[in-house]
Amino acid sequence: MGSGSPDRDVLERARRGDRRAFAEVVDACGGIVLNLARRMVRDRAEAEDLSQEVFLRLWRALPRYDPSRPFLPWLRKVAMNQMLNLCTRGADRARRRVESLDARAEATGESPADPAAPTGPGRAEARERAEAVRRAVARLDPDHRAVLALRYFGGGSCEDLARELSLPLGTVKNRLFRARAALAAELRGLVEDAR
Amino acid sequence: MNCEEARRAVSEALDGAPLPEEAEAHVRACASCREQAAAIEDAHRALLAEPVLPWDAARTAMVVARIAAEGRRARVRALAAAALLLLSAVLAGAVFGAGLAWPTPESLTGPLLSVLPDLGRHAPDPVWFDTLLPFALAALGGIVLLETVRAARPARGRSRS
Repeated sequence: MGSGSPDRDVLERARRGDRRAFAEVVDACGGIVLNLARRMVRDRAEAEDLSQEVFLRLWRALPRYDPSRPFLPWLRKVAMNQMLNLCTRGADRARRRVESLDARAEATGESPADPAAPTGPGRAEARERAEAVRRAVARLDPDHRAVLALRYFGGGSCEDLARELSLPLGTVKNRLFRARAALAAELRGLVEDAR
Repeated sequence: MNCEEARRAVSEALDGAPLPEEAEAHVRACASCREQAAAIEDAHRALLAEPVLPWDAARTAMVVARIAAEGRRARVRALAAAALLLLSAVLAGAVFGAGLAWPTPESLTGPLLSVLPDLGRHAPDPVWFDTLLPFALAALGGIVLLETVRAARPARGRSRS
């Protein structure tokens, strides 16, 4: 549940202000928003808060959706714009939070729990790796995080990303390149810190 | 091909573009680019392997409850604004209607006329003034009321997307 496109009729009712229909939209698309949010912020609780905020704003923005166009790309675009607004506004707070989580993880040798993370004895390394990547992603600036989130969660081609971010194709390719380079640098830094 | 071009080509190859032979040759020969390529390929694999979180009905209920609460707050604000407006109108009507202080051209311009006598030639006609002033006040009140109601609606369709 939570990552499909809602029916046209449900969307139309939600656009006109029907809260029950909007609840169906949230049910159908919750997974998309939550997983994009999860790739924009470091921990799961923050991602859940962020996705709720995004849905409140989507409720306000929904009357502007043009029903003749596909819904999911519009949703991803609006959701990401809202996340960027919220992340930019809370950037300092988020950075402080990342630093405090890092400090706590270093002090206790633990990482924030994520029930969806791989479990089992053979998966410990994969979990650590995933956590290191998440920590490195959280240190990137919001534009880089946004392009990586859209590319790696249900994202299509670079052309699709360009449409979703309203950017020229060259800019998207450049942003992906810069984001990956920044991520590689952050990961190197984390590995060096661990030594 | 220089390092920057080779690294860019490696990044584009991760998105499905073919890796040009010269880029591949550069990466094989350049230790720094090899290290960078390995790091971004590693990050690419880790990002692809990131688990997908499920969405459950409890979260939907929380979103809907917040929307309902926001709607209730907006209605309370609208009612408070309308009550304030109504009270102001009643008070103004009571004062003006009782003839206690209905303004006249003279009462408004009198002090100025005594200082600037020429202004008297441009003073509004008393009949027009008496007719237009209530209409102007009513129109102003109407605009304020409409704006209040518009501002107090659950703000749908007005935020930047």
